[in-house]
Amino acid sequence: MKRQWLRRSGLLLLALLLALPLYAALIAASHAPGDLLGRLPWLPGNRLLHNLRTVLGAGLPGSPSVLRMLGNSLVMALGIALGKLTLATLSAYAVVYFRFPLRHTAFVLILSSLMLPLEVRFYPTFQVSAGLHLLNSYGVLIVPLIASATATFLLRQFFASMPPSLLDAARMDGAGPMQFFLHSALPLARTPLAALFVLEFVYGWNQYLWPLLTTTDARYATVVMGMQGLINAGTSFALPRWDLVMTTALLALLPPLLVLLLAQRWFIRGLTDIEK
Amino acid sequence: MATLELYQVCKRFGAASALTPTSLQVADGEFVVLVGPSGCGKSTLLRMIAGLESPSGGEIRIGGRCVNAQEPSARDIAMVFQNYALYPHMSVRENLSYALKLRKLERAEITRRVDWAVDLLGLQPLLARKPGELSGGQRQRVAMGRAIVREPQLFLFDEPLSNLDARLRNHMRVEIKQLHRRLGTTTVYVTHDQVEAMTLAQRMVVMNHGRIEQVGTPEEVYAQPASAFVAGFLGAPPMNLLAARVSAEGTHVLVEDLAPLPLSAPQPARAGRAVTLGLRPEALLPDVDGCWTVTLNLIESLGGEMLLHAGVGKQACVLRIATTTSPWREGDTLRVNVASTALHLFDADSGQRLPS
Repeated sequence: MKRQWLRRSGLLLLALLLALPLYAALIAASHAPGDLLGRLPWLPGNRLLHNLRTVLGAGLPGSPSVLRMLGNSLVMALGIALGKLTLATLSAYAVVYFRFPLRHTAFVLILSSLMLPLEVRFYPTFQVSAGLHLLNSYGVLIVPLIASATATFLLRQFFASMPPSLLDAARMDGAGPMQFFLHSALPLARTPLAALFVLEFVYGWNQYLWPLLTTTDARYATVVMGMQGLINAGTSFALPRWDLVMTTALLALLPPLLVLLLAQRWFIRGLTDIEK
Repeated sequence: MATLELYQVCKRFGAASALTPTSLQVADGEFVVLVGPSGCGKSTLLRMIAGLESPSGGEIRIGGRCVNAQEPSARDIAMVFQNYALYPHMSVRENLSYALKLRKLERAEITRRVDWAVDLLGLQPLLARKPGELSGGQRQRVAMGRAIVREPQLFLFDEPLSNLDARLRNHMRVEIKQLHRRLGTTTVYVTHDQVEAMTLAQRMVVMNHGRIEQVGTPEEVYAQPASAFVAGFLGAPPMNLLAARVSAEGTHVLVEDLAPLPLSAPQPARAGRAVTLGLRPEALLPDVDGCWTVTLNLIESLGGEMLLHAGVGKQACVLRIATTTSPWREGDTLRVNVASTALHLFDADSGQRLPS
């Protein structure tokens, strides 16, 4: 009994610690800029709605409205997540179910790209994108990022763990490769796909360096990358507008949180027990 | 309905041979069981008939036409798998109708066939459920339903009962036999369980090490095993196999430390040579005037009968006695008689049956 209390209070403490920066952001977002000079009030103020209206509507001078940036982020995150899932499902399916030359080599190559962080290939990827005149477009935000070794690997493991007799049964029933994919493999993979969608959506939403490098036109600014622009834009005021920056930060947090909450059940099931 | 003919069908995986060239004819409507220990090639053979593996040589004919080059779905056959292989994300009704939908049958025809199978197998209460919500026996029944809605020329069963518990296995065995009786479809059934093979087969094919040891009705195979392997594989408990020797005159068989047994058919050609003597457990009968003396090591009671594990000379054998109570105790010695008609002789090296 006592031990359980100890454990619970420990967990509570950790949760509070994690929530603290969020609380600070909430306080900053709900006060007037003057209240934030050199101190942080203990309690939230009453200007949250006003600040929300400001950033969503007009935005800060010199930068597009936050609504537009949120829209850009949504396009980018959805594009990356769906693109990754499509590519990864198809390549995992090919690697597991088709016998083609260098099949194993292909998989090892995909897998070894796991070791390389994204930033390693920024320079060549940038060159290619520039050569294709893709800079400053939604295309450049999405297409170079949709190859995913992680998703391919997880889905390969999933397909490989399905009983081989399922394929035999489908062949006896007269299903071709595409029919087996659409009628059996894809519906069975919906749990891991849902889990991967959450992961990759958050990954896409949080991209910072790549959009910063490839888009100079403010029309394509995403919210995570645009926030640093807000801090700069804020300095053109007499006072730094931390209230507006923090309001934007809170807004930027919401969509990934929403996706995670909505898909929580699938997310956990997809990463823990593989349903067969 | 159709005949099935195999001509010199073989299968190699790289350098390893999984099936030596094998020929077999299955008559229209016949129920044939392929039986053997794991790795004997019976599943490989079945998968080649199904079209899931391609043979390295030979020809497979279903209903008189060669199907070697045909896709599994074009062969007009249906298969029931060991782990059922039902589509987990489809309801029972969808599982049953999937193959028919792929064949683009008319909706009314699909409904008619599914309803017929559902009636036949009693699946009505399960139609809306997913395979994950069914018990092992129910899944087995759905898998059979999925096979019969296709109204195939040939049924293939790949160890369909081995995932079920013993009681359910007996029950489903009877159902499969009744199903075959009602539909009369040609059936090839693979199992490693000799009881299943004996009870289901009209003809059984005993396989070992990638080749056929014997083909025959269960009665033939039991009464006249073609080799020591078949003798030791069939029966529960299986035939006792004792190292023995033919006497110098070729008229008796000698087991070390025991009285010679007269042969009903003398073996002058093998006089003095080593042989394997096969004796069914029920062929050794306790008899106060018996010729052999055996030592009881262990007594197992099966209710209606007893299994006596005994030492005969330096070797061991099992006796089956139809009695409910044992007058003997472990450690006793016992005299038994052996009927000369019950002797099976096999070549000690090749294991082949010697004519008697």
